[in-house]
Formats: sequence, C-alpha cells, structure tokens
Amino acid sequence: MQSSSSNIVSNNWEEVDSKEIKNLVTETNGKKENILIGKEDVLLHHLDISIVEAEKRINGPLTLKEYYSVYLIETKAIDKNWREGLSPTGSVWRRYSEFELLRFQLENKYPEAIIPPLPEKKASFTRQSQSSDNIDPVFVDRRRVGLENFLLRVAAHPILCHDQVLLKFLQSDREWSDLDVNADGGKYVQQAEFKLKSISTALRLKKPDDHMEEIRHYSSELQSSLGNLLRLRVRLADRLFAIHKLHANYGRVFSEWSALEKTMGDGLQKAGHYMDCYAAAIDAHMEEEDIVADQLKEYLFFGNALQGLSSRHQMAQLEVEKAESHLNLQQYNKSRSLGQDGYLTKLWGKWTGTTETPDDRQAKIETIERNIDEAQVLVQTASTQLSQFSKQAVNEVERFHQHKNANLQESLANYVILQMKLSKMGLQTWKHVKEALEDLP
Amino acid sequence: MSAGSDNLEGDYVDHTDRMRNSNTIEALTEIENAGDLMKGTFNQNDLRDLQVLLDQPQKHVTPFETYISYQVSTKTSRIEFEKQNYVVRRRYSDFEWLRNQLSLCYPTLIVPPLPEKHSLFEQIDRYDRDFITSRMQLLHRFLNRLADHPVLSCDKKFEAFLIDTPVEFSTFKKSFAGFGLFGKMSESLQNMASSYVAKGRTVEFEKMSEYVDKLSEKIRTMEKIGQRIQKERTAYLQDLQMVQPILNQWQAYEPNLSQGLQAIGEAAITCAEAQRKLVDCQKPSLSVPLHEYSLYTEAAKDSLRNRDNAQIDYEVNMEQLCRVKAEQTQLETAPLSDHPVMFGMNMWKSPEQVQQQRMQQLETGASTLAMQVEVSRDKMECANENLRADFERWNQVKSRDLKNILQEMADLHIKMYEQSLNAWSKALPIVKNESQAQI
Repeated sequence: MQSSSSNIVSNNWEEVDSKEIKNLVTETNGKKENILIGKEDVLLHHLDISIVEAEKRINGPLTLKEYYSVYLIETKAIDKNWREGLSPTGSVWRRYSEFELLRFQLENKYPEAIIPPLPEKKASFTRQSQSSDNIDPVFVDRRRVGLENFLLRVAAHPILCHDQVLLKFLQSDREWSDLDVNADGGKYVQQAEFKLKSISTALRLKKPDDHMEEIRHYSSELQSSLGNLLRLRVRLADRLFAIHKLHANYGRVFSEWSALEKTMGDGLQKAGHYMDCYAAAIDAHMEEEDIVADQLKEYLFFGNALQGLSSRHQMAQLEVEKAESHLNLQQYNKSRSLGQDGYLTKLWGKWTGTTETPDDRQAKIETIERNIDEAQVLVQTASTQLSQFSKQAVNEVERFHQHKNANLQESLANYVILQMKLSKMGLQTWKHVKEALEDLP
Repeated sequence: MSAGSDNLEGDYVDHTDRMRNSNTIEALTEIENAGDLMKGTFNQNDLRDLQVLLDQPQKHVTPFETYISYQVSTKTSRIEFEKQNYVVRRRYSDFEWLRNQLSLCYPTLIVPPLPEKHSLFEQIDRYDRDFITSRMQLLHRFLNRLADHPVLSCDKKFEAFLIDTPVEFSTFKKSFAGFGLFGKMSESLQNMASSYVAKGRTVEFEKMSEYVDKLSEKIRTMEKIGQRIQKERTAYLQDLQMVQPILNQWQAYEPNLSQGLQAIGEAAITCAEAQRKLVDCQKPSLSVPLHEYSLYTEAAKDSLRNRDNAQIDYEVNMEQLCRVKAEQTQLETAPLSDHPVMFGMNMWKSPEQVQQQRMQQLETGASTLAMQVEVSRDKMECANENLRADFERWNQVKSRDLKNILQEMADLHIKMYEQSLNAWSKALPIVKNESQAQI
C-alpha cells in the first residue's frame, strides 16, 4: 500500500495516514460497545484494555536474525469490584505467539466455550498494492487492532473473563502462564494430538448430535460464504484501485495539454487536477474498506472457533459412547456367564474337563457385576458432562449469533457507507471536472 | 454486441424475400427497434444552409462483391443547388474517392478524415451491426464537416457527390480518372522534396506543426488510457455481478441478516448496471470521436506538410535563380579562362563565342526561372493564406468538439455515480434498520 501510493501521490500520504488512524480509533470504540451486548457482569466492565503500540524486535545472533513484533497491552482498572483483584494499571509487552498460547490454554480449559479467534498470522486476501510482509507496518498495525479486539472479546465473555491466566496475561509482568512459553514443542504436540483426535471422532461417532451437526454445517457455510465474499472483495478492490489510479494518467495528459493551449489551458489544468484527486482518493477508501474486510475476516475465523467447539463436543460424546459400549460389553459378559447353566455348556465342560466349580462362577459373576457398576457410573458422569456441555454450548452459540448479527450488521452498514462515500466523491469530482470544462471557450 | 448481430442475422434471413429495388439489396433498415440508430432525422433547429444526413445502411450482394451503401440526404437553401432536397445512395469507396479528390485539389486545407478502412487485425465482421453503425456515424460527421467548411462545401465534386444519380456520378468520377496518375507523380516529387528542409520556415507554421504533433500525441495517449480503463471497468463490473450470488448463498444461513444482505446484493447489481452503461457509452461517445480527432490531426499534419512543400518548391526555384544570376554577374565581371568547364566542352570555339552563348543561355534560363519563382511564390503564399485561415477555423471547431467529448465523458461518469449513490443510499436504511431491531 504505502509504496505504491507514495510513488503516485506522495503529498497525500500523511493525510491518508492520519485519517486512517482516526478511523481505526473510532472503529475500536464502536467495537467495545458492540462487544458488550450481554447483561452479564464481565471483566470488561471493570477493566479498560487496549493495545496501544506495536514494536519490531530482533531476536537471536546477528547471523540468524529473527524479526518479530511485540504489542504493548495497557490496562487500567475502572473499579476494583472484581473477584480476582485487579492492579490499578498494567502495561505489558506480549508477542503474537503468547497470544496463541493464551488462546490455546483457554481452549483447553473451557472446551464448552467459543473462543474468539486471533487475527491471522500472515496476511490473507490482500490486495495487489498491499504488502504481504509480516513486519509491514500497516499489517502490524492491523494485527494490533485484531489482537486488541481478541482481548476485548475474551474480557467480555461471561466464562472466559474469569480466568486467572487471562488476568495474569493482561497485567502481570512475567510468569503469566502455567505452560512454558518457550516449550513450543510440547504445545504443538498437544495441539496436533488434539486435532488428530477431533478429526477421527467425527468418523467414530455412532449418533451425532443434531444440534451440533447443525452448528458444524453452519460454520462451514459461514466460512465458505465469507471466504468467497472476501476473495471477491479483493478482486473488486484491485480493479477499482486500478481504475482510479489510471485516471492519474488523464491528470497528467490534461496538465501537459493545458500547456499547449492558450484558451483551453486553464480549464484543462483544473480538470487535470481533479483527475489527480480522483486517483489519490482511492487510497484512503481502500484503507477503510480493508478495515471492514478485517471485520468480516474475524468472522471467517470464528468459523474455526465454532468448529473447535463442535469437535470438543464430539469428543465429549465419544466419551459417553465409549463408556456405553464398555457397559454393554460387561452386560453381555454377564449374560453369557449366567447362560452357562445350559445343558450344552455342561456337556462341553465335562468333555473337555474344564468344568468350573460353582464358587468360581460365583466369583466371576461378582466381578462382572462390579465392572458393570463401575461402567454405569462412568456412563453417568460422561452423560452428565455431555449434557452440561451441550447446555452451555447452546448458550454459547446463542450468544455468538447475537454478537455476530450485531457486528456483521455494523460491518455491512459500514461497507455500504463507504461505497456511498466513494460514489459521492466520484460524483463531486466529475461535477467539478464538468464545471472546469464549461469554462472552456 | 452478440444480441445485436444475432438480430441482424435473423432479419437478414427474414427479409430476403422482401428485397427492394433489385434482388441484390437487402434492407438492413427494416430491423425492428433499429429506430434512431438506423434512421435519422434532420434537426429542425438546425439553421445551416447545407445539411447532410446519413442513414439507412443497406447490404448489397452481387456475384462479384458484397458491400454496404448508405443513404445520403441533403437539405439546402443554397442557390447553387437546383432543388432543396436530394437523396442518393453512396458506398464507402465513393467517400474515399471524394476525400482523395478534395485533398488533391486543396492540399493545404485540412480535409476532414474518413473512418479508417476495416483492418484485418480487428477480426470483426465487416457487416457487423456495431461496425456499420459506428462507421455510418463517422461518415455522417465527415459529410457535415465538409458541409460546414467554407471552401470545401462549395466544391463541385462534393456537390456531385450529394446530388448526382448513380449514372451521373460514375461518369463524373471517370472524368477524373487521370487525376490518380497525377497524384502519384506529385507524391514522388514530394518524396524527393522531403529530403530537403525548408530554410525560411516561418515561426508561425513551425509552431503550428509543433502544436499539431503534440496534440495528436496527447489524443493518442488519451485513447490508450481510455482503453485500459475500459478493460479494467469491464472486468470490474463482471466481478460486481458476482456479489449477489455469493450474498444469496450466505443469506440462506443468516435469517437475521438476510434483508441487509439482499439489499447489498441488489445495490451491487444496480451499480454493475450503471457501470455497464458507462462502458457501453464509452465507445460511441468517447473513443470513436477521440479517434476521429486523432485522424483529424493527421489530416492537419498532411496539409502542413503540403504547405512546407510549396515553400520548398519556391525556395528551390529561388535558389536556382540566384545561382544563374550569380553566374551571370561572374561572367560579366571575370570573363574567359575562369571557366575551365566551358573550355573543355567547346574546344573549337573561341572563348568569346562561348561566353556569348553562355550569357544567352543564362538570360533565357533566368527569365523562365523568374517566372517559375513568381508562380511558386504565389502558390506558397496562397498555401500560407489557405492554411492560416483553415487552421484558425479548425482550431475553433477542434476546441468545441474536444470540449464536447470531455463534457460527455464527465456527464457519463456523473450519471454512473448518481445511480450508484442512489443504489447504496437505498440499501443503507435496510441494512441499518435491522441492526436497530436486533438491539
């Protein structure tokens, strides 16, 4: 973005920059209100959270330089009436991988919650004029907004906001996690295991839960629709960008031409100026449109979160089914043992000389019965867990939809407003051009 | 495009049994809803004393060739014309002939350009409806530019073109058959002269030709920009049409957002339509007129070149005259042996005789040369005057025309943006209302 725009309209760059920042600020303010739709008492009511700054750092020896970005999280307690106790202020630097770790822990601890997604690690759905570089300042800043959004969503979540680790992450200077940040290997193995499990559970489940299937289906639809939409948006944006930028050529031709003409010179000069403005205005528009696209993208990633939830539900269900089949096996064993009174069995026993004594049999049946009891308890606990999970998951999904509807509505409205603004700008520009041309003899 | 040509082909079959006049003519005009494109009318408010209207193209199929003819209607109040109204049919080659004749007769006037011959590169059907329409419009403009021209409009050949019956016109054309040869000769002469650079090229024409060169470069650049934008815009509007299907698919899973999504999809379609209109109008109202001007600048360049040639002609004659004069004075002041060349050739004659003879030769040469100089100077001055006047006139027409083209461009964009703005403004409350209902 920067490189191309600064080439063409270097004088406009600063203006665009400040405008963009202003916009981001209003955007996040809007988000905060939106996130707080529920009536629950959540951390966000008691704590002001913002990521104020991003910084590039270099790690490792000179030969093996590793660049990464760190983000400064600033917190300020609004009041201290919060169970876990808040420090009045906090300011900590965290890097992206730490956010990942936090999210991973939350996911493990609260399987029944929809964990808000993190912004992407690498820019996707980028326009041609955007840099796909990980440490590109514009990208880093957009990720900063995304990470802040993640924290706000977590802090506004009725379950997640009570987490101790979260609080430490937000406020304490070190040792915020039970897991070692640097023990990446362990984390990834665990994650991989988890993924593997969730993939295979879907195949092994006997009786998939209808509601969860629906969620699964919904999330994949959401992902495909948003994916298509974002892909199309990028194409449209690229085209529109090119169209506007091509008008700068008209600007150049007009102003060169104006030098040739005596009577037409002034009007052409003006018209050329408006063409230049027309070309320059697209930069700011695209920056704003990118923000809307980021908002849509968040929901694209929410699709993953939904799928995570449904996978975890499937695992819980698998536990129940496993326990049930174990119980069934024990019961079958029991019925077989009892059935040994039969004539044929006796005959078989006599003939082979392995007749069991009644005592042996009694003992065997007792063990089986004990096993059955245990299995029944197992089934019971698994079932209650599952039903609790389901109940909470339903709440979660309900809550998700509510937020999603409000947020997406706002994003869509923003998109429409942006299109209106652009149309107005185009209309204005061409009207000016026409006026300028009317001055011609 | 395809729809139009299909229509054309369809009618082509339908009307074969209804051919008019002869069995080789098919009426392209009888296409329904061809309306204002194929059949034109004179503008009632037009007060010019000579008006020409070109319309109703027809396809002629003969065993030897297939061609299109156009109806040329003339309405005039000039006394040179016997009647007030004339209707004739002419084909492209007739136009070509007319223009060639005019540019031969008036080398230093800016003769309006004809649309270019159909190029093989474009690979479009010569009988394609769009091609014919666009060519017809350009030919119409060509004739009216001639009609508006103070000198060209009074030309006999133009008059014959407008009023002669086919037989009259073809005999009239034949009477100029020799002209072609002459034209070629003068061309070779011109080529010879082109290696010669005029010395006394006046600043005035120097400036003119510089201006025309630069203007034609600007116009060509504008054409190129227009083409690129056109290409991008076409792709953009195609993508824009994809928005609705995607939103529709999504809408099925978002009961609470469906109305808003639908509104956005509809707005996108409206915008695509608005863009489509802009794209469709681009060619007939922007790129074709602009290209005509690109050709017009070429015509201006030609006339400037012809003027230069007239000047060169004069200068060459003048130089020769000077050389003869110089020799004369030299012979008078320094006689005899200073002329070794003469010596060698006229060994047996006495030097005095040779000198006498030479003086005589020079005398007659000088007088004919002086006459030639006179003639070529007249020609040059005539050319200067003609071109000066015509260039002035052309400049005015050009400013007006280019202004119109640019304003048309602005108007088209304004229309497009008004429609887009409307569409989005309509969608906004629908998208927003829902969010209020939600909260």
